[in-house]
Amino acid sequence: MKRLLTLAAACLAAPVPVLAEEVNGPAKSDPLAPWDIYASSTTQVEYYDINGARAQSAFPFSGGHWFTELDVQARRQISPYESIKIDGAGVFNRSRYRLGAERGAVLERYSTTWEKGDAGIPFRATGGDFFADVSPRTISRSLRGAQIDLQPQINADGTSVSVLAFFGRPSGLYTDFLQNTDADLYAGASVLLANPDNSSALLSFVHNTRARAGATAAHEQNVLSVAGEKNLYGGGQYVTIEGEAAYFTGDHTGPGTLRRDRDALGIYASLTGYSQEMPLNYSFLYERYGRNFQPHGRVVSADRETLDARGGWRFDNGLYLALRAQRFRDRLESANTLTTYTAGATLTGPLFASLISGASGSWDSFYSRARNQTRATNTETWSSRLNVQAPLNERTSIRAGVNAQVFTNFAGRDSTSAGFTLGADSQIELAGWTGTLSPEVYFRDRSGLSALSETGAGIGFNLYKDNHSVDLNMSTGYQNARTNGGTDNVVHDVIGRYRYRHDIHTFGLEGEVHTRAPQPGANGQAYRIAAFYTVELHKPARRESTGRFLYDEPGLETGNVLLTGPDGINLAALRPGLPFGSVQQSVAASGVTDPTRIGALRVYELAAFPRLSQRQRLAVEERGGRVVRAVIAIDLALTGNRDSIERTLARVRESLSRRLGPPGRSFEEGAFTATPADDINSGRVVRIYEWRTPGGIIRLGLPRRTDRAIRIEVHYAKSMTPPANPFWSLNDLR
Amino acid sequence: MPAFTRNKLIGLATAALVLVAGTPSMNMSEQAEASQYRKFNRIRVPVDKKKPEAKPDGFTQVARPIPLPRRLSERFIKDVVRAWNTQKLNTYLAGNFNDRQRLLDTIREDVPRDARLRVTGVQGVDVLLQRVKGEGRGYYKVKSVAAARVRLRIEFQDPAAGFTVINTSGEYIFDVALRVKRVKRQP
Repeated sequence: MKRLLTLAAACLAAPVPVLAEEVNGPAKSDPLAPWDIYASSTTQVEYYDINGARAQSAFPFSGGHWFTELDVQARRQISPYESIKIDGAGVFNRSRYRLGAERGAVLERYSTTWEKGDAGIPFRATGGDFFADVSPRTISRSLRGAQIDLQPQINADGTSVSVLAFFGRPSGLYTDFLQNTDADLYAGASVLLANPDNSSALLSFVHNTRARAGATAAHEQNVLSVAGEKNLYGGGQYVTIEGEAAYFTGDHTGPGTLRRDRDALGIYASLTGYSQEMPLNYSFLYERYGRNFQPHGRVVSADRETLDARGGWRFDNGLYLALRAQRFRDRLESANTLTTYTAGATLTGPLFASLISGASGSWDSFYSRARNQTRATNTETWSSRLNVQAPLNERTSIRAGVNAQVFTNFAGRDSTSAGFTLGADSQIELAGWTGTLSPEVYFRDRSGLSALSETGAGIGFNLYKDNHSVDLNMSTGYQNARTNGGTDNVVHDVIGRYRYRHDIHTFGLEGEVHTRAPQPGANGQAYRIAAFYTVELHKPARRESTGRFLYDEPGLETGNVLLTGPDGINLAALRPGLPFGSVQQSVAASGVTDPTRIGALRVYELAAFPRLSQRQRLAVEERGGRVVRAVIAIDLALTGNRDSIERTLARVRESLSRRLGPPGRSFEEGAFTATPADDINSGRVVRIYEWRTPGGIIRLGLPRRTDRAIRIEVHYAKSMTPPANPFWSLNDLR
Repeated sequence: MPAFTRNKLIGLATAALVLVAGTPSMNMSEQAEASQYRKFNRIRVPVDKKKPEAKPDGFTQVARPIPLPRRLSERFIKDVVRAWNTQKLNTYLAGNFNDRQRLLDTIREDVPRDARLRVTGVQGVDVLLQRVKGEGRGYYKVKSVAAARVRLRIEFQDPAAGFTVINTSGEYIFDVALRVKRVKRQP
């Protein structure tokens, strides 16, 4: 080699995979050698008993129930650019709680994904169950069918192209799927153009056809959408502008009867930004959906207009103030539009830290006014709630919550409600067991049309020893109806869990007792005992090549990544296995303040998802100086936001999907009724979405808790319990 | 010095590392929450496929890349590092460097004027990809993509703490184009 004549150098904008030479190919005799296979099987036996009034029972069915399920995930990395992934789950069912009336061997989920980056046109093809995620206005739901993502390399100016096409039916039982092939069919396509500066444009089309169902005739509909996003910088402000216009045409059944040949427009526009010079972020959002904007795959509300403005400011001492102002107009295209104004403020972080060292909390207050044109609805709401937690000493922290709400009904009866909770979490050691003891008392009072006061107390503990863990939660409550003819009630709940894990085996016992003694009325008791055994097998692939990737999320070890930004939490900073010190660096760099300690947990009050007004906490479980699990818990409390549980869950899912892609697996069973807490606690409703990442599993969903509280949780851990087990909540965090 | 400033400086000094962090299939750390609609779920493709190639450029990929002369790599890395916190950094960043303008703006706004970055060690330079094309008369054009792991030191005068030194490290990826002449071995 001779002299150097030219030298041009630049940093590449994308990570570069490096393939080393192929060595030691797999043994030819073993076809499974190149596969990475994870399998788990759970057998669960349950017995339910109901005494007294069935109406008072938390469980609808009595007697014995059992099932055995098998979950298999296999992946083969053929080359750095080609992989095959197979995911399947089936059950042999004898439980009405598992699949309703469906009995015997049932295939619940199946999908195969083939990704090939070195093909003429790089593609990712999926057959079976997949999450059709185009946009909230066109389709965002799980389907069963096929999907292909083509990414032709025609990027002359750096623009990347993705052409997505799919068809499928809502995921249900495979037996239904094969029998009623035309019952409810979606087909769609979308073209995404993405620039290196993060601006992008999307053109999408989704068609849905539904066969006759009962009295509803067959019908079909289409939605065509154009969307775009652009990042701008100027005057020290980083701003993202985004918009989508979707045109719906066809038939729909909502609300009520079938309407033929309707059309409507759905508009969405938003501006989000943050300042480079100041710790300020802000967003403005406008949405408008006509009454006939009823695409079946959408997750937005028809006949509604929303104006939403928000701003956030982080103070030097770590306090974060978020302000919001919203206007909703419902029944927009009727003669009696309901208009709701809401103004609110949330303050999170080291509340009262100057009074109590290490205290943190969240305070949310809002004012809301709702009026329709006839004034049949004319209300005003003032609401405030405060949650604070503070360390009492090295082993004990206390938590307290107060809330008050004044509801003025100019067209009916006013009401007020107020309440408090007071609890503690104390580290305990008992005969070699360590854990947390958590007593709690509460009082709630509501006046007005259905005046009621509730008093109660509970105690819970979690204990761990070697491979054993025990959770027990006992609570008792008295409901005093303060209206004539009202029903008083005495409620007792006991829920206990035991787990033993050894290597690949997990054995568990669960027991529940619920008693209800209404006055007047007949008493009722419901019991459940359950035992389960799970075995997990993992066969790593024998390497076909030493293909390695230069960048296995570098930078994370050094704590350079911010934990939160204006866009919300950065899960990469919380990857399981990271040294806890790097998390602390990320936390410090993000301006979030010191955590409260509960056993092995560090709990931070922060706005992990800035668009949510609900209280959010991050709990990081640390053992041996490493992160074991990171959990974001979102309390589902009233904030005047008018968002249902499903909508809040969809928002979190959208936020995660934007970073991680659509969830790799989703479990959606049952529909919410007027009592969502019961739906979740009785197992009628299951919502779980999972992403598998190199760092572990990210799971979003609505877990059951032993204290029966409902909340949305996001877990990031190396492994998770099987989805069939509903008790995957972080019970230590109350 | 506050931990925030310290971490931010390290982040800016090792921006080449931080901004390209993440695997192609999952880029959680840098993407903003961004649009409500679907994101680009990138399929991993061979490096040469990512380059815009309207027509074949005549280059052939080398099966066993030839290492770059260490003296050349070190000189170049020192040039880049010297340009940090100056306008000249602009000329070294690739046009499609992720969040290029934001990095330059942030360095300009947030880094103390007197802060300098120094190389304290180049741990290794790997050639990730090398392609070659003959140019006639015994000359060849060699294009390489290389990665270098570099130990760095940030030095600046902190108003409160006095002269401050932060040691850190980063990884840089760079394109190198060379014109070389094949030398025939004398009998």
